[in-house]
Amino acid sequence: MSARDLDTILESARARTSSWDAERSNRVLASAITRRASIGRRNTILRRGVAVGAGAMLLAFAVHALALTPSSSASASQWSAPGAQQSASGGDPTPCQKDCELATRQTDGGYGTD
Amino acid sequence: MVAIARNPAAGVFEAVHATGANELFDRARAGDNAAFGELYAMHSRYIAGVVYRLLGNDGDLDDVVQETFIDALSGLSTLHDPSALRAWLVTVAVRRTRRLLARRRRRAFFGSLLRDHSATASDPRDRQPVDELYDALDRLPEDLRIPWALHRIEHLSLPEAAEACEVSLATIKRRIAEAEERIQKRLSP
Repeated sequence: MSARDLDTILESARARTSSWDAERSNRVLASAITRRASIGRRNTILRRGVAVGAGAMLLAFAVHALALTPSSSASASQWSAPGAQQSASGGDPTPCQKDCELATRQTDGGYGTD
Repeated sequence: MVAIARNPAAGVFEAVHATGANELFDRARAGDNAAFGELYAMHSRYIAGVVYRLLGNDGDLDDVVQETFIDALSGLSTLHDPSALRAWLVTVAVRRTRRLLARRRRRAFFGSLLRDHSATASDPRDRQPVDELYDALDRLPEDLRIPWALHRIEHLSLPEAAEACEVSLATIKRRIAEAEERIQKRLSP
């Protein structure tokens, strides 16, 4: 195809016009404004939902964290070392306790304290 | 105060009262629907013409124009220069048209016919060549089709087309040249 032929077709394409009239234009505008308003409402609801959801999550997290915080001696024992509990209950000494015992004997010169 | 603004639709220069236009623009930005309606009345016909020549038919014209102005209503606050409104609207319309063409392409991929969207010429003598041109355009990717149509059919300058497509001048030149080559090949007997 020659450049001249293409130019002729382009002229024809430019000459074509859509049936865009005042009535159609007004209809599109009215519809655009209505849709914009509904999009705005939807976004507002969505924003509020996100804010409420985030607040609820924060509150739930805070309540959960408070429930885990030690507030009494009973709950404090829950946080003490497992080795200490074991020793108090009369079980086998932990490796740490064995080391301490050995160190005490060495300090005494291995003769005991009787 | 009177300023000169270019009217690309008619290709002439028209005088506009800048103060009035600025006021209208500011009111529209502040959410005044009546002011937005006036801006719409000033620009909708031109935007509809651009979209029509990009698509080649009337079918989805209302939807694209409507979506363009909905986007414009939301994004008007980001625009600071009232004189750039028309070019900015073209950019928004091009973005919307590209999405529509991509959707059409997906539909075509899943079985719809590209022929459904072929052009309809007002003059019966022009029907065949214009239809063939739009058939050829339908087979081009949006990134080639839109710059070519903006420059060759809509007569936008290269910088204007580059701005509308949100790409560099070098990219727009390369895309238009590639589209031109493919269209020439397609239309050759």
